[in-house]
Amino acid sequence: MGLVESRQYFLRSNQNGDGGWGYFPGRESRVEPTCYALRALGVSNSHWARGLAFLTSCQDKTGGLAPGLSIPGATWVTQLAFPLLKLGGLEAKKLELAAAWILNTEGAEGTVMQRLLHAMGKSKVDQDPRLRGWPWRPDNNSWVEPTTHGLLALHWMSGHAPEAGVRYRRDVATRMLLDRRCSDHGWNYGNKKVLGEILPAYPETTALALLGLVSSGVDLTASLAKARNDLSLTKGAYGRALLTLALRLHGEPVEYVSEYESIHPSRNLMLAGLEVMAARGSRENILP
Amino acid sequence: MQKSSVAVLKASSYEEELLGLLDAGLSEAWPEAEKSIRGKTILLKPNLVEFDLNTCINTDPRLVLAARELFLKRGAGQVWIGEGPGHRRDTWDLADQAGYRKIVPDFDDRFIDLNLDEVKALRAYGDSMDLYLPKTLLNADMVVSVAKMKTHHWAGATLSMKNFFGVVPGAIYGWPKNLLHYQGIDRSIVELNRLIRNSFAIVDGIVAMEGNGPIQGTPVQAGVLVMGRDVAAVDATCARLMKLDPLKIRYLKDASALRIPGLGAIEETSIDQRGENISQLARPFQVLDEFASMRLA
Repeated sequence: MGLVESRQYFLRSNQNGDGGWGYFPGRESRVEPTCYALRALGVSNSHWARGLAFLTSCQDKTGGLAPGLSIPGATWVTQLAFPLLKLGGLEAKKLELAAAWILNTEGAEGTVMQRLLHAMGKSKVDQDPRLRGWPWRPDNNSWVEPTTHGLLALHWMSGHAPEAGVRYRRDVATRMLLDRRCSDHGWNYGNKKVLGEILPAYPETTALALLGLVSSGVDLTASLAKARNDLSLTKGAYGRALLTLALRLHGEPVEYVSEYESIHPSRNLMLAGLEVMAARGSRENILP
Repeated sequence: MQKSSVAVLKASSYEEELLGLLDAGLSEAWPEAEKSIRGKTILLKPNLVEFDLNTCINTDPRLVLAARELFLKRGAGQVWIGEGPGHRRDTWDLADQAGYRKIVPDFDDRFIDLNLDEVKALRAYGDSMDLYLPKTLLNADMVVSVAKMKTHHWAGATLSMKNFFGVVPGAIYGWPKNLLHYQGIDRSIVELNRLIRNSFAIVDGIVAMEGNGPIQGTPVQAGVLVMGRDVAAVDATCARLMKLDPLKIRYLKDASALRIPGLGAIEETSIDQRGENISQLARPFQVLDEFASMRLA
């Protein structure tokens, strides 16, 4: 069995009764691994409708999605799931609510004090607090990964959200990602300098930021070179899969190679989905 | 009031017979441990944060392995290792880089990524909110903080109490776990330790970190292990070994003020210090300027 087939078999074998997937076999369904599993398995199969039903069951009255049925409160997984909800033909009203939740949720930085400290060069972190992306949870700061998924979700909002709002969030969030870029041209979780110390990028977050910046029109030559170099050095499956996917979506001819012929020893279902996405390198389900 | 026992052990290298040392330390710090361990489920929580070949960010895996063997030797039913790094999502790769998968023979079957674990909500922060914690942690009979002795650029020092930041699940709170910073680092440290009450601490100070810790500091050969049931007493002892004043470390003072039995003995007079003499092993750790006032004279 090839890499894609073995991971897909693993995913198909571990869909929960409620239609979702947990991070590991037999564990409670969560939105995040469900999104990766659905992207890996594709539309038009017996798993799709049940998986989508799980995602929609996590949407609350605010329009956002909770991380799981037992964990109330909408979070960043809303933007991760939005493209799938749209592909799955969720009713327009619910899509509009989800889009509005995403457009109205932004980082909590930018207080008067933060702006003042930044302007005086006295902030402990080197971030422009005016540039807000998306937080992991409402009322927290913006970070790289939820901002990437926010930017990707914006690509799918045509007809479901005001164009001006989409344009504004895309512009500011793109600038936020560029502001958080490390001096080595990659990204970590979202802090390039703390207390005057330069922090290094990580392979997986460099890949995520590059995914968020697909079709942004920004010159990413140095960051893509950094990602290529990271891919040649990174052993971890999660980082390798994300780097491969990001480079392929930026048009680079790279192949996903796994250290493991069968599934990863962690038996992480989200990782299995990501590996399939990386091996295929397809824009399908990620960009319209 | 009963004093909290803390054992200080001299350990010059990870090549030493660590199991024997820990066994002796457990007998000193908690003579009646066996009846609380036998047949029980133990969760070891190391400090596995990031990997950098040039420094010593993480609890050494050889110590984690020795701790695992210690609790099995003392009759534990199961000993799990769990961690949820605050910045890195690929916990498995991090464990690989830090040598855990090589050193701990059955690591893949014994490790729980606490960032991705199933969770249960507890009321926290003055009953103001639900805090989700991993079920593996909540279902364990005892949680052992196998921490690293390091300075910390926000809190002054990170020891066994701060190590519990890693139990907060990233899949709920993100990477970094921003909620803990919004609630206040010191307050969050105290709150987690208030919630995780059946705990034990082992602090790895064989090679510790000074300066701009917890990630970018400098390794320092401190040659010491510290163990005890009262995590605040253990951390206060570590602080004295680092020549820092525990009464000036905010979270230690706050934990002490709660007056919870078994948590918060930080005055020298309230600690029954066993094993090596602190004064012979203590050495001044370099700290950032803003923590200069924490230095003991």
